[in-house]
Amino acid sequence: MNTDSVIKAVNLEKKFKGFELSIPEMEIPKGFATALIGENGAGKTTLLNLLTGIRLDFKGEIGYFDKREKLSDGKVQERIGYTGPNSFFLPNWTVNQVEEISELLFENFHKDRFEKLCEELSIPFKVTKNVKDLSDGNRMKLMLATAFARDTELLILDEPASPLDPLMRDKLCDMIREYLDQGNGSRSVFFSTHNIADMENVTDYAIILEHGNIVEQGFVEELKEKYVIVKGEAGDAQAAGKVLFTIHKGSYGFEGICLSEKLDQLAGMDVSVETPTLSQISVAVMKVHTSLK
Amino acid sequence: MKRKIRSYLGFTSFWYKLLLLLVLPVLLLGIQVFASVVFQGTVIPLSILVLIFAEIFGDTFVLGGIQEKNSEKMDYLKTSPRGMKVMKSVLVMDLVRRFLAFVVIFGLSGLMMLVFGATPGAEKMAGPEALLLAVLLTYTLSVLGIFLSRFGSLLWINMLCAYAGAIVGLVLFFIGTGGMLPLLLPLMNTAMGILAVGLSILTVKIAMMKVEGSYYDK
Repeated sequence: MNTDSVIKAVNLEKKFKGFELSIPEMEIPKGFATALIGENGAGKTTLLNLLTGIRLDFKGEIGYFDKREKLSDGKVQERIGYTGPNSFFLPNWTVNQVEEISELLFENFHKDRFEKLCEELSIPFKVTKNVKDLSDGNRMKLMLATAFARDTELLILDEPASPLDPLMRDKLCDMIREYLDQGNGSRSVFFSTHNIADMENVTDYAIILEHGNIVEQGFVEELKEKYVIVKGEAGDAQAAGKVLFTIHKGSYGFEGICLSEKLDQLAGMDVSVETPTLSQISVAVMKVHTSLK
Repeated sequence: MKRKIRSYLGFTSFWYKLLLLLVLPVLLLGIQVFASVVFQGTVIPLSILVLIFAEIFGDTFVLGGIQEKNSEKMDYLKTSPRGMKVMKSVLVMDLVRRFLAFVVIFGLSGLMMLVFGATPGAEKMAGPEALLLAVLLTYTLSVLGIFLSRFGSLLWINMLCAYAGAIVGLVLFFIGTGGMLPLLLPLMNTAMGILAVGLSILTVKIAMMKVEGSYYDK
């Protein structure tokens, strides 16, 4: 599928002690929800920090929106909404202060929309309640309220689903979908997640990151065509294992994922084939690249 | 200027504004009125003690820990093109507010002594040079206290800075107004004035360096 991109990064490199993020080229499609998937320490937050301008010490180039603007142009950050990890707000701020400061920080922040979102998301709107006293879930909801209360063209969300309960995760998916729908193809969302299954129904495009490198990416529907789940009898497990990406063996049979193009190599075996979920594809791809023993 | 004031007020909580910006000055001036009317006395030393303590301790709840090593509490500001400008406004206005508050509190205290009269003991603290010393000492020591305490976010460190600052302030004020040496008062005022300017610049510079440095591996 050929699409425009909302962000294009080229030769992106960021080194830490014992870790290197290295992305020769990455494009985030415009008008879609893109999931950034990877295990802990894969470099997801580092990548998002580079894209949002929280970290500026990296090599490579990042261009934003149609004209490939630079972050230093000034107005780019106004068009990006972001939610980050715990260090996002000063811990002593109250919800009221977050509202006042957001108005100062962003021209396109709407106080009325923020208050409505706080009410909808049941965020305790008290002058005495500090951000540090909010639960992880409520803190994330507050970050989401600040991001959705602005007129933006791109949302970059770092693990938005992790601290949320299942009901709120469902609500988050609705909010993301509504945000994209209202943009008529001009708005995009890029979020990192561990909760692939919960976020799958809102994910259009997926990027899988391992050890600072992109190991797989594509539209979800294309990935589901690229990979297949194969189930077969125990007797074929050893032979199938040479073809499959990942394999689970049991006394009754085996189950694994392989590339569709390699299905021919299973000819002669009694196997059934199913379409995998994004979660199954991601786990399989991550298993191949992980350093976990 | 309006935007700078809004930035500063945005960073201060409801309780901080209520207690530090309203209740405490009114309370100290109220006590000064009582002291002036009832026994022509002064509570300037008490004001120095309480103000230095309250200003250093109160900062814990506004900008506490922003100069801390590995402090990463500014991500929201960093995602805005105006973030660093807002931060600088807050740091500068915080100092301006402190200085103006002390000028008003000690100025009005001196005025009350002028209006209601002062005992010989209190008179030594009512002159323009003594009042200037009160303002400069309170400002310099509270700025020194917040500058040091912002390197950590532990409450007891801030308390320690607050207690130390308050006691040192009180002792220096008594030395300065004690008349032990001629020219001591103007000399102390000059020294405190220089220190006040230097510390103000340092407080803003170091905090901004810390926040801006978090964009990089600094």
